[in-house]
Amino acid sequence: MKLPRFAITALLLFCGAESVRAQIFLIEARRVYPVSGKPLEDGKIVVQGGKITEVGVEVSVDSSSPGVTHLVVDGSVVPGFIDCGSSLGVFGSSADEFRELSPEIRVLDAVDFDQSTFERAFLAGVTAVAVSPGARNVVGGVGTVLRTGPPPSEHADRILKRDAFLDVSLGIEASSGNRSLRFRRPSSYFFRLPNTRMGTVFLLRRAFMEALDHLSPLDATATREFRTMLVPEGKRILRAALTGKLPLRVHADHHQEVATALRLMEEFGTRIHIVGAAEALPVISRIADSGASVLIYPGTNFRESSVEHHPEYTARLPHLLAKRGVPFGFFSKRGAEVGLLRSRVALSLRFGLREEEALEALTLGAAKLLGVDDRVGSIEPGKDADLVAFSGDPLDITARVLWVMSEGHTTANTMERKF
Amino acid sequence: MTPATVLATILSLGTLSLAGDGDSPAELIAIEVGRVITVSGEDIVGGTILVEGGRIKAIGVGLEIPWNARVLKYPRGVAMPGLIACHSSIGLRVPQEIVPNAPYISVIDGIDPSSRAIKNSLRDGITVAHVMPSNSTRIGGQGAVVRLTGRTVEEMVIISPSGMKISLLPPRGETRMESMAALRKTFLDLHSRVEELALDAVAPASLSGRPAESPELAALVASSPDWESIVWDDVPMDKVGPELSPLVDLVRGKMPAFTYCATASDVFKAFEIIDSHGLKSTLILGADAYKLAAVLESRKELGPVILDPKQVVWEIDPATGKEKRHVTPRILFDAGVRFALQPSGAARQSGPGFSRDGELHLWYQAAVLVRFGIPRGEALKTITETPARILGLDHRMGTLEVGKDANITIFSGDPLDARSWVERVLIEGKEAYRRDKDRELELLLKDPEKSF
Repeated sequence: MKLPRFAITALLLFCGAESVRAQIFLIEARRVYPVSGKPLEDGKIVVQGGKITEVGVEVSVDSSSPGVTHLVVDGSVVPGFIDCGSSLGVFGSSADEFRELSPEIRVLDAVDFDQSTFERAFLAGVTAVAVSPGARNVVGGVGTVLRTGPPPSEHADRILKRDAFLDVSLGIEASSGNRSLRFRRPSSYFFRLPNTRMGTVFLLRRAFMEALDHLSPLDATATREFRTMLVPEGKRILRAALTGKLPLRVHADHHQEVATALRLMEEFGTRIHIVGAAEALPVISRIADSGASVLIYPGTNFRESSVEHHPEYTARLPHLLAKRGVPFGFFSKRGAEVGLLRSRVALSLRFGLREEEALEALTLGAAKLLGVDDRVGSIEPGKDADLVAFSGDPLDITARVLWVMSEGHTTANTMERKF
Repeated sequence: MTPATVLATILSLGTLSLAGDGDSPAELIAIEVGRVITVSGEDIVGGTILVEGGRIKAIGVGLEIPWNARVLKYPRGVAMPGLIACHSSIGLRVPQEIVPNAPYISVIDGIDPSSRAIKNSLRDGITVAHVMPSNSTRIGGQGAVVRLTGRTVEEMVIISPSGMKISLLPPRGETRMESMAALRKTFLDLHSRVEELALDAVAPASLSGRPAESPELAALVASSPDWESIVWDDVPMDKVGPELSPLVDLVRGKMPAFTYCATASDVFKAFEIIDSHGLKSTLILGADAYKLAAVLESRKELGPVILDPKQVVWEIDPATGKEKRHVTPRILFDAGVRFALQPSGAARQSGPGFSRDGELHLWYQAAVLVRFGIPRGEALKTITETPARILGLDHRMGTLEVGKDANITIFSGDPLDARSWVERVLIEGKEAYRRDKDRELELLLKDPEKSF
């Protein structure tokens, strides 16, 4: 069954690739948001061979030239949106539940590229996503950045950055699955450290020290059971993260966790992205001073219903980070939420975030945080043609997606679908 | 109670009582806004609304403002009819009983006038709510239409009872078949009971020699009782009892039903119940109602339906695993089915609050209708005029017209723009919410480092 299907797909792709290489798109929109520069009224974009070749009010290509597909958009065109981390496409668990320190596992190995959730995200205008190992393990593993479409396309072509970041967790999820030995006999591998925040921090620090070979022989004997917690590949990856070669992302929601993350960052002299920061308002200036970036979950926090009782509240977090110049992006936790990204960010505008700041966080800002800004994130010559056309302004909740383009491919689906 | 709770309660009571003070019923109010969305007709740019005695006295451009009128000026604001939530559990802490049949309970005994959900709904522009028992009880109980202002439930109530909640979602632990059989039996038992009472009243059973008939047996032989045979004047109502009398009102058409159909296939069961017992019922539909366009079109006499807050549905083709998107409201709209929207029950305890999840906000849901090509005017009707019509209150509310109740929501900008906030809410001419006195919002928007 498998072989013929692959053969057909390959054939289709081959044809598709050929036609895309030859195809020239001239896109005209009432407004083009390049994000890297000022919005262009009645802007034009030329796409050739899957890349953006020209952007401006005047371009060299004419709609009457041979081989040119002319797309007129009664609305706006923006770079494809980028989600900074979810479990989109992960088949099964995204964490290795046998242990807490698993820097060498790659979430890419669990991704099912054919999952239809990718198409949902694509149709919602999210053309690239970071797939994250999540916050379940103290050291979760290596995350990746993928294109969401267009379906069908070769899996290898959908990988924007194979090893994009290392996820570690100081959040409550890291210790939540584990059980305490106080009352029971150990009957599973869940009877283990950490059971507390303290244990989580200890394990993380221990892993960093082991990776950097900072453990003295004396330490090693004193804590014999922890001595060889990392495999050589894991040590190598942790070292890469600690020396800035691989972005280090720390899941931390409560301000206490965020403060710990910043302390560790100082201790090991590395830069981090904080993932979550949902209740981090009391330490917002410390985040700004530390040089860390933040990835924000724009969905609803269970504490939002009462500002009086929970002033550490998140709705205004994007605005306050923007005000303090902290780089930030948005992420969805579950894959099914990726399609809600635009509407959630649009609702964040209520709390002071400005439209251009939101748009940047959804595109170029996210691309920079994920290290893929050389290829996507803005409408600039030389970048991949990942574009979304809206019937109005991109963050107007009454505007709909007209079509989505990924490297010059658009699915017939998005071109023809009226609603 | 913790000191914080006490404080919160005092604060909320304070807000409510402040809102009530100084609004004598005959007070004249002039509302000057950038735009008036009347819903009944064209928008009025630079319009003025005059309110007297809790009603709208005049609407227009350049109206003469009486010297003694209180003037509310929002030059960039947009006034529209107060939003109406036509199926909600706003104010209820626990929205249903645990027994499957509870026609005798009423939401007015459960509504907490100081609940967070009420405050948060006002902040979202809702003025009137139809509070109903939730979906997990077969016959859930009686609902009430309430204005979201007042210190006691009595002050809040507009209509009570407003309707009976029937849910075709099987209660926990029951199959669909069991639940439907039980629902049929409820009506058959009711029929036997009132028939018996009527006969007894005319000729006592002991004298007529009528054979005793068990209701269970009757249920086996007939699935739809003959209501025509009941001479209601013969039924001694004092003997019906409080448990059954709401159901008598239901089958006599004195109380409307609101029937929840969790899936599209439940609608046919709803039709059976409605037709067998001559109920006046509004249908509350599940997310997959897109399958029902033709069916609902042919049953237009039931009036507008209430749609699920989940407007976009992804259906998975089991053969290919591919997903297909259905935009339920658009499909129904194109088929000529009229509908109202309801706020999502996901945040029942707290109301919409400051959530960034659109389904919780009625105005957001209306904006999604516009996104999918439904004209703006029609989209706005689904949260104003249509719910008023469903509740039988369209002569009083749902549009801004002279003579109607002054239920007015003033937004800071376009109501379908996510950046707009509700500036002010008037309910029957009385101040119900003011953004500039919203302490929580002030706390939320101020710089956090000044509060820690």
